[in-house]
Amino acid sequence: MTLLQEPPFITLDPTGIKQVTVNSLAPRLATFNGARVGLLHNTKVNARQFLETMTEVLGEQFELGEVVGPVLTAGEMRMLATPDQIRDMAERCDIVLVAIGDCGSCAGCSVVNATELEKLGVPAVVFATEPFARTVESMSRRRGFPGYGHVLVEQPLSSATAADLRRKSEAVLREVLAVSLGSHQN
Amino acid sequence: MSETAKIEHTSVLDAIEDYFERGWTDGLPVVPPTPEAVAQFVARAGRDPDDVLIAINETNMQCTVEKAAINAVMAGCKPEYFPIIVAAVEAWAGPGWGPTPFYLGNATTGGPGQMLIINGPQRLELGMNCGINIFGPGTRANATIGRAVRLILINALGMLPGAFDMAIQGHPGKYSYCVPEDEENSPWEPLHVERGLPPGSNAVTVLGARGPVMVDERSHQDPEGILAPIARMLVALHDNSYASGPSVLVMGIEHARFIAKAGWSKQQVKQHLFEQARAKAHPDLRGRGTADADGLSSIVRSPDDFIIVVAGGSNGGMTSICPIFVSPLGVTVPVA
Repeated sequence: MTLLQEPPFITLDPTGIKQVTVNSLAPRLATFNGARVGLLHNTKVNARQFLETMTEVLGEQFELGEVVGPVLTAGEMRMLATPDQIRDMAERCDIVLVAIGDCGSCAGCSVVNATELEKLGVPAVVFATEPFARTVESMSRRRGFPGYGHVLVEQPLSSATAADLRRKSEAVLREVLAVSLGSHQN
Repeated sequence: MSETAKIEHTSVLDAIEDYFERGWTDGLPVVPPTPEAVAQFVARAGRDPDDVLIAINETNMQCTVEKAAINAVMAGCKPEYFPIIVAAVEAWAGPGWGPTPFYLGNATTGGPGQMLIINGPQRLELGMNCGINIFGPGTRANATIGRAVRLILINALGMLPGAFDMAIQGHPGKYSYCVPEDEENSPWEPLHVERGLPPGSNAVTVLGARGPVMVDERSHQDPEGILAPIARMLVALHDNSYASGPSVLVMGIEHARFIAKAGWSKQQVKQHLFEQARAKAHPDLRGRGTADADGLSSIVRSPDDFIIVVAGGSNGGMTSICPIFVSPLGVTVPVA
């Protein structure tokens, strides 16, 4: 490098971004009535309990079909689902609820799990706590689903009581319906 | 190298400001990576610039030899430092770690930095500091090699704080966390030899670790007396559900010499700490062995969950504990 070089002074881009194809969302549900609802959770504290509470809240509004799971992710660090788990959930469910993103790795991995389901034609709903909004948005872009609909739950979840889980689930019901049902666009 | 975008600036200072604006920095000014400087680094590695060192499927980000070189220039490295950086990035992706767990270990709220432990004659040839102020500022090779891997994480691999890197607090070692072992003053075999590489060879060991916690013990010369407060600190650091027991112990020369003078090997130190660093077992606590009659178990499963390297000044008794977090117990690879 010389400080006396005539303009333009040329430098190189340090980023390692690979080009990604923009994917289409799976078709959304017409209604939760009769829908087979899959529950896919990681090892984070209260992830399973949150999904069960959310299903209870949904069940009070709709005549749900079979509830599949809860299924614990069996892939890397118990954060990622295995390809077999994704295929199995895609075959057995009309929609899958995916939780929880309340850490950097589990928020990113929840989006990976959900977008793999979307690629197989099954809509998925990612739940993350509010501080991880940017993680979810960034990962959605890098997975080829820019603007992917997700549901942000009030932080914290790991120390939440059963009553807290109920309140937090009720608070996001409207958002769950918004990203799950027919009118939703990516 | 043809696919890498070239950026035009009116001056060097304009380039530095532009890299700030684009977020291509750790928060400090970077050396503008000119094509000529980058080419020197790539040539030094003797590798195809398009060779992929690590590719992370989850995020669709990757680091090639060229991208590693760009970030090493930005960090302020000399070309002769670059083989260490290439070896380190490949070790992240290689056997014993791998791109997906590596991504998880850098996304975590737990906040580890990427530590490099440097062994072999390269330390002296590159003018690295193994002594006084080992974790502190002042030496170009220590500072910029550690900084280069952080810039690779931020820029090439997209681990931006607040997006993919969600460390609740992180620690200062996330700017640079490079520890050359003081092989010349250590009473024991260096880490890479302990792990099966030839004496006199060059190596780097990579792992994720939280910040160093200093244990200041200057009142004992016997191994038990020196190691007692270290064991107590290990317990204190690991007594909650988000901690794990395995740790790097960066042992100061005075501690190492007194312990070795009493006839203890490095393995005996690990065994002693394994036995002494005990805490109450709890179902949420990871990495614990079986509880004894008092309900206590070692904070680690094996003595080899402790890595011991000797470094730092000879001017006092101090050992630092660097807890390993969402990481293997160090991957040691040769440096070409």
